[in-house]
Amino acid sequence: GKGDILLHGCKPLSGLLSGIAQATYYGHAGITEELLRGQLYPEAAPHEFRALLAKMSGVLKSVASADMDLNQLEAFLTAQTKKQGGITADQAAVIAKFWKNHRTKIRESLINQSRWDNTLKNMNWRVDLKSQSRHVDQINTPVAIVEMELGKNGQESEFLCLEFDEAKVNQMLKKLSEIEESITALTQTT
Amino acid sequence: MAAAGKAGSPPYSHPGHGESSLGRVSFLGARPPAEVEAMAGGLRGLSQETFRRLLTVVVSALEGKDCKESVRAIAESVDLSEEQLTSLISGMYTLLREALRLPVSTFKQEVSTRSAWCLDKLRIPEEFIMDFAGVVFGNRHPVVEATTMKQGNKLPSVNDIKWRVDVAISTSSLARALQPSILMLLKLSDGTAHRFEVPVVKFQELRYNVALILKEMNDLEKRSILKIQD
Repeated sequence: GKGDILLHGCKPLSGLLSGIAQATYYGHAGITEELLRGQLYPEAAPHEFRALLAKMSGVLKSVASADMDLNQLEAFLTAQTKKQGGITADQAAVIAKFWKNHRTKIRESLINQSRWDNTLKNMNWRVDLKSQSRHVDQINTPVAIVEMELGKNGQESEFLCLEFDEAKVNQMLKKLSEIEESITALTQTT
Repeated sequence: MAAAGKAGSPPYSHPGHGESSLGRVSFLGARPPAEVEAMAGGLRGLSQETFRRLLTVVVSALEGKDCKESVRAIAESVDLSEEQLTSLISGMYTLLREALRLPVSTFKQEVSTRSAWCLDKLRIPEEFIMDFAGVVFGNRHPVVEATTMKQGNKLPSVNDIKWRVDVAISTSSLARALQPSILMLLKLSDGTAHRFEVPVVKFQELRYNVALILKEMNDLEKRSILKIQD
């Protein structure tokens, strides 16, 4: 009936996938099944919509957790179209387009979900000049004040305020260079 | 955050020679801090023994020692509510801390003046004033040292940096992650340690910023050297 045509339509599907992504990967609260149905498939019967939602969520989850590249995606979606109770060719096209646009962002979100400790979110700093002696020839030494924002998912950030003299900044920079070398070596061998 | 100063009563204005006592502000400021006033009220009716026990605890606290046990012991043996106890201790702590900020010589000039202790306003019983004075004029050294160390106007600095590069192969959300991430452990001068993860992109930002800080410091030094030569 009319509901079937709408369920197989393209524009609402794109919106549906966005809604699923918002709820599952981008942490947007309050996106309910009712909301999605009302906005995108108002003519569809609730049980029909539920089935569609489940199917699309499942497909997206498979694609996302495997972080599929274009070849894998094509193979996977083709297989889905051939399956009993699978997806249509039109739906496959919409899903493919959606994944191309959202892959990086969804991947980043999934990686974040596995970060349970504090993460460096932001860094602010300033350099002050500290006057040192009361003698006539004043020796001014610079000191850096650094504020690091450390946060966990869904929690208020902790702010770490630190002081660095020039020697400490040098020491820090040296360590960071070591880390950089290590990462470069890693990414070159993979 | 850095302690640039302390909130509360205005600083004691040092009296010049020959100034009358009328123009002087006591070490507690024109208006004593609320907790000191509250304490003064609570002192009436307090036994000297209890007062002295509290005073010992407060002095220990000023010396930077952990006083939880002592306070608990007093709370259990004395007929005072937690609120009353807290009020007394915080008031006594503030009073002594302010008094100890000043050099002894400044204080000695005031000791005979009732206004120094805001006695008329606070009405602290005479015998308790003697005990307070004993602390202020007694052996201050450990207390002063402890307070200056604690309230130092310096932020903690980094003593040691440890790091690790991890590569997440697979996670519950991502079957094939292969994502490198940096784990850093900063040991600070105040004894604390902070562990956090730095995503690769943030790491590049961090490295860039630190290099920029160094450049700023060098530039500033050059500029200040030039200034002196002027």
